Amino acid sequence: MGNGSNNGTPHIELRLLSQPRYLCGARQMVSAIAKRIGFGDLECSQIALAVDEALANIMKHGYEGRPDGPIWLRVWPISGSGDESRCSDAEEGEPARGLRIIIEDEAQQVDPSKIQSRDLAEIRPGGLGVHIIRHVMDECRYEKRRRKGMRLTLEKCVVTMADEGDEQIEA
Amino acid sequence: MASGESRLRVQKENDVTQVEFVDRNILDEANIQQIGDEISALIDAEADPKILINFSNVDHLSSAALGTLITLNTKVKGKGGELRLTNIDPQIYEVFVITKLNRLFQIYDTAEQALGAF
Repeated sequence: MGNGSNNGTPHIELRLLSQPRYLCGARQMVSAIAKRIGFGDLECSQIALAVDEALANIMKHGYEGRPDGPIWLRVWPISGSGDESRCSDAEEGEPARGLRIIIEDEAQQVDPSKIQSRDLAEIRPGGLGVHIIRHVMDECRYEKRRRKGMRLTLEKCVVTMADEGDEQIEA
Repeated sequence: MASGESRLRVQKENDVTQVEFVDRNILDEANIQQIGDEISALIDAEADPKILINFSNVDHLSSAALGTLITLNTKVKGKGGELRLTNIDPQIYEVFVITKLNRLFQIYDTAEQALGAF
């Protein structure tokens, strides 16, 4: 059983086997939750895509096509918490401003520093998934789990009108 | 896709082979191998392939599908043909932009525009 790095109980937890036919269901679940949290259509699509790419990587590379590998996908709401961090764990009853998604597996471990996107100037198949994940999510962190497998933490916050104003000022 | 049934709708107009997809989740990891093989066979069947892939019925595109499109594009060009893409949803088009593959592929808003450009 996976053991996420979050202390709080996940609000949603999905366990699936490493079979590509279940990607569709995971995408739709995550997209629907993101929509309910307040993300726009494009951001919902981005979050679903990131989850899809992460799961597909685990199935293809982590488990090397094995159909019986367990994967855990857990979701927490997160909220804004002042100046130091854009997003943090949402307190009970506090409105969510984003999502933290943690995906864990028991597949072969990889040095997180080796998980990188490739040079996009090379036109060839493969290696685009990690680039897409890092591009569409605010936070993307790979870690080795203690005994076996990997943990991927993804975060994305809803962009508000105020955020857009701040970004314009910073720019 | 486990079955051997085609997931493509194919029609030929003049000398252009037009390809559409049967279901909306078709271009994910579960189906992409079969889809790639089917379109590859269409390319093999033409001496000077002109292929138009219509994404009007697609709501998800994975990096695996992008990889397949790169392979198909290389194959078409190797035979002196042309591959064009059309009717790509803005959310899917963004994936092309993120990966800078919008610069590689010839992408048209409508099938009519794409057909007119062959």
